[in-house]
Amino acid sequence: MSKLTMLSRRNFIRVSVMAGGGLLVACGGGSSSSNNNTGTPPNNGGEPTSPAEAFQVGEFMRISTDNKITILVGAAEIGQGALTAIPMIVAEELDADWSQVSGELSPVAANFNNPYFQNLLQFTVASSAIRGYFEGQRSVGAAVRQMLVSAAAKRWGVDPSSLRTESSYVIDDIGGRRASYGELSSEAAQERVPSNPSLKNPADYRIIGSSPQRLDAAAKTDGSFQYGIDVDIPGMLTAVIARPPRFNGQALNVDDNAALAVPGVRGVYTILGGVAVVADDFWAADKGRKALQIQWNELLAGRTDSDTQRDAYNFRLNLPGVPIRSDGLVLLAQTLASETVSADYYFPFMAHAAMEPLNVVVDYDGSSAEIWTGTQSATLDKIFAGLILGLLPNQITFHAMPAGGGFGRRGNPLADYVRDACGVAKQLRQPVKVVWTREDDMKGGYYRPAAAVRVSASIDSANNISAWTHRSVTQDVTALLYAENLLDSLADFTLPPLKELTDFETGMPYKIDNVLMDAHLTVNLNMPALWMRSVNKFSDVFAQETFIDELALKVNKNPYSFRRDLLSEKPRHRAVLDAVADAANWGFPVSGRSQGIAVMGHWNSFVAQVVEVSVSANRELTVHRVVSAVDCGTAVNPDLVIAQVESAVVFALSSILFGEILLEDGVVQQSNFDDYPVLRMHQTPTIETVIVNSGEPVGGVGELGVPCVGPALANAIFGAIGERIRELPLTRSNFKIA
Amino acid sequence: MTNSMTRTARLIFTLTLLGTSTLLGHSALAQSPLFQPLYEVLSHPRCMNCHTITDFPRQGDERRRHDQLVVRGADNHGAPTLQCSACHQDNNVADGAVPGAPHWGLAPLSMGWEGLSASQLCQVLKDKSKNGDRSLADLLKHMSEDDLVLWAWTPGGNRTTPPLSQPAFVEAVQAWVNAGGPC
Amino acid sequence: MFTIRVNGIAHTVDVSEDKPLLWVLRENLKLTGSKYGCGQALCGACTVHIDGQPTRSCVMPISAVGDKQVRTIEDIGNEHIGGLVQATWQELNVPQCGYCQSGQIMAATALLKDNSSPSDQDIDKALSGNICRCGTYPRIRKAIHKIATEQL
Repeated sequence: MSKLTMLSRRNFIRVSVMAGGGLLVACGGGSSSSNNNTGTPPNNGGEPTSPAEAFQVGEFMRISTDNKITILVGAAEIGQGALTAIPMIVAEELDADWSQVSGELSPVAANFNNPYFQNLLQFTVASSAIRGYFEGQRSVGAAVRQMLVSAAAKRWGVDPSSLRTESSYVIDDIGGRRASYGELSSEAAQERVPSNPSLKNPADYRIIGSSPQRLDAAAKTDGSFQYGIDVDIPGMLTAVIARPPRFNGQALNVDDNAALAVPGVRGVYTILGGVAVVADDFWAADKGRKALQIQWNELLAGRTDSDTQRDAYNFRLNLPGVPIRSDGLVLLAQTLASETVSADYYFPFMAHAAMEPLNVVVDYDGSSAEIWTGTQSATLDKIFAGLILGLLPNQITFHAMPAGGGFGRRGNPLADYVRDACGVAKQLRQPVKVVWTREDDMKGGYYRPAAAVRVSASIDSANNISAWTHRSVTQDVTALLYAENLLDSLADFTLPPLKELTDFETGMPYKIDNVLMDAHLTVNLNMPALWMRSVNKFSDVFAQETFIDELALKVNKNPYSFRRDLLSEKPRHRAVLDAVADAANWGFPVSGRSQGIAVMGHWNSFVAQVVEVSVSANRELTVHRVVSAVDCGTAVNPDLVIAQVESAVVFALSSILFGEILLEDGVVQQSNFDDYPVLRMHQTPTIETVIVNSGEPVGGVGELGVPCVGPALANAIFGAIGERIRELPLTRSNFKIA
Repeated sequence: MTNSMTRTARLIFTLTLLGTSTLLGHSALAQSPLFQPLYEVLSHPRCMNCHTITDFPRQGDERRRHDQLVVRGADNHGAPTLQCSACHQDNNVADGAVPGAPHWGLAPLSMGWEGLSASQLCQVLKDKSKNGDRSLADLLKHMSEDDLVLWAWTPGGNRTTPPLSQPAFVEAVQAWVNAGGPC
Repeated sequence: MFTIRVNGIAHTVDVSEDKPLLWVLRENLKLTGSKYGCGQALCGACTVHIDGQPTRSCVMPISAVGDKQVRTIEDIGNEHIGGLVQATWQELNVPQCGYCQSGQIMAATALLKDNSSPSDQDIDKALSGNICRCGTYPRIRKAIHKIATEQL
């Protein structure tokens, strides 16, 4: 990951006087000429929408004369709290009065690109929001604070070093006077921007490390928070799209007579992705779609079949793949071992199923466009919109709206839903909201790809693990698109090695001398797959952490101490493992229950989890308790970190217990929450989370809580009934979920 | 007269068919052949899913416990603030995905039929202390006119319907009532 | 033409009789706080109160509303308990993406109005119709208990 901050990379920021007074901090590196983007979803963040003329691209922050501070956020708000945590980082270095700070989503502009992705794009995936923006946002806050101090020093004719700042005031203790940031803002705007402002010692943090309420909490409890699906503009029509039953099918013949006869239906348009029915409202569009008669050309359509694919993946497990990690001499160790054991695992396709179905509003008039959508991938969305509509970036105003969940689905580098909507708008030339129904969303592809994993371990005569192999078979799309590493490499104009392209879990942390990890990346252009919260760690860590449990019991060791011994060189893994064992009272489950444990590190963070279950005689499974210990380096807002872990546990349980998209001859079988169930209130365990403060640099937390839940749960099931789980979801193994 | 004979012949044919298939399939044959068609209908999931003996309804032909932790509640219409009518309107929704009929709810526990043999179900059905104080004539009226009963033959979506058509069912009930409700 | 009473105000709308109340609220009355999540009464994001009872507005045709009182998330804060639920939701950082929370709050408010000290089982029975993909269930449970214990 790049250590460049926004400041050092661009060398300077630009600060100017705001129209009507106040101070505007902008980045001098910006070159976008987009000029009419308010960038602000109406009413979100509790601040009135700023007039467009007061806005400039590259703006990071506004300090108004009434001492209110608005901080613009380039990361997506998908529920994880970026709209709160990123302003906290700026406010910390600024020494701002937190009660006067608000956050707004930024426009789509280069200045807001995520430093984690080499400042190349606004992209909120890979748990990278805080990791990416942390250092740069600190520098912005620190620079502006220094300018405010300089302005006050000039006003009072004192040495800046005699002044201090606190809660949006510059304070002169000797002179017994103080001035608010608001009062000083216009003078501060005349100050030279420090290129290398001094940052706080973490020990002096007052805001970072505290847990103020989310800035969007109020608007998210009274119905006023505006999501993409709530956008309403004058003259707007609503469209739904009939998509082919098999991926990449094409509409051949469309009989739209009955559809056009539905009152309220305005038109039917064939686009690349299907057939759009445009109407005055959603209900008419949906009725019109049901009345369409479409003959599909399925010559090139996908015929992926879950069962067939599983057989093919299982076959590939027998063939060597492309090595992604190789330590020592595995073959030799296997030959010398007293025993080599192995296990195969299988994981199905899964749907993200965010609560807000996909939707996009496009207002295209032939020469310019304005687009609103909840997205994790605003820059690429905007690029694709330009390609479809034939517009230059400065002819498109793109509003990245907060989303009702993302989980990776809204971070599609291929911008599928934006392309669809632009395809409709291009023909319609009238404002249109393309709405996906839940069924569209569930059947629309871009799933977590299915995966097969084989792990093996060799045990030597001293009962030590002498060799470890891990082979994954999964779909190439995810790997090829895995921009996290790809972009890093491309930025350096190098072709990345395969292992860096993929996001396979190569971080197997245990002290084993001989390790071979390899992978098969299958190509299936007719089966759209995408990352889903925790990506391949979901399957790779499941296999690793259930198998290591088997090995522990095989050599008669406690699964916790067995792991602990093998983590002697991994202090952060060990620390979370110890912390969770302590918090969960490892080894002493409530009577009638069984415990399982798992540990991992990724995203510069570490997690260990203990799951406590009981299984009745008729296989009714109850998950009673999930305890997590997380080390994300520095927790910017510990309560939001805990919320992310709670969220991940529930998300993971949905996948583990129920998550399965099945394809029969290319047709997705699931459609809604009745046949794709997700965890509900009555199935939710007690969730406890402890934060281990390592004081290390910030790590990611959005996905961290997902991967270990599955193996810890499977290990607990083994403890309860002596049965090993080799495939997900658990409903496949005939467990009934209480 | 001719009409009546045709109806009787059809009924006997149906009964024979059902009786045979039932003998082959399972041992829930009523002692009275006149009750057998009623039993075949009443034990169908469309009826049985809400004539449960549990504190919750069931759904689907697989008769799984109703999703969303739906419960019977004190008045057989769900939890105090998650009533059946929260989702089930007076009619099925347009595409039939969500079924609906007036006064959607569970039958009282006294009318729970799960696990009963055909003759037991017959006795329970006639027992005025359990059937809502209904006479045989009242039962005929209920089973031929009640909106929720009739829904079983227009359940919407891909839901299966009871093995007899609705008119054939009414005929069967009529015949059973005429005969004095033999079990 | 249908006249419905929403949040105490009569609105007349010209829509087809089968248009679900949810879409009338969102599109005709511009009350977008009630959310579309599944369209089949499976997720609860569209929950409104009909004469005080939580109801899935996505499956209630406008023709079925009649003269019943409709109350939505936009107005629930004007009820004592609705206001407490909103304030406690904020205090405990319950919302994440927030999309399901209108429905959760409508369900929780109805529960607390009916039952001032709900057990965990009561909460399960009242709220298991409301899906949250962000997994805010533990905080929802905690918030309901907190209101019941401290304020009712």
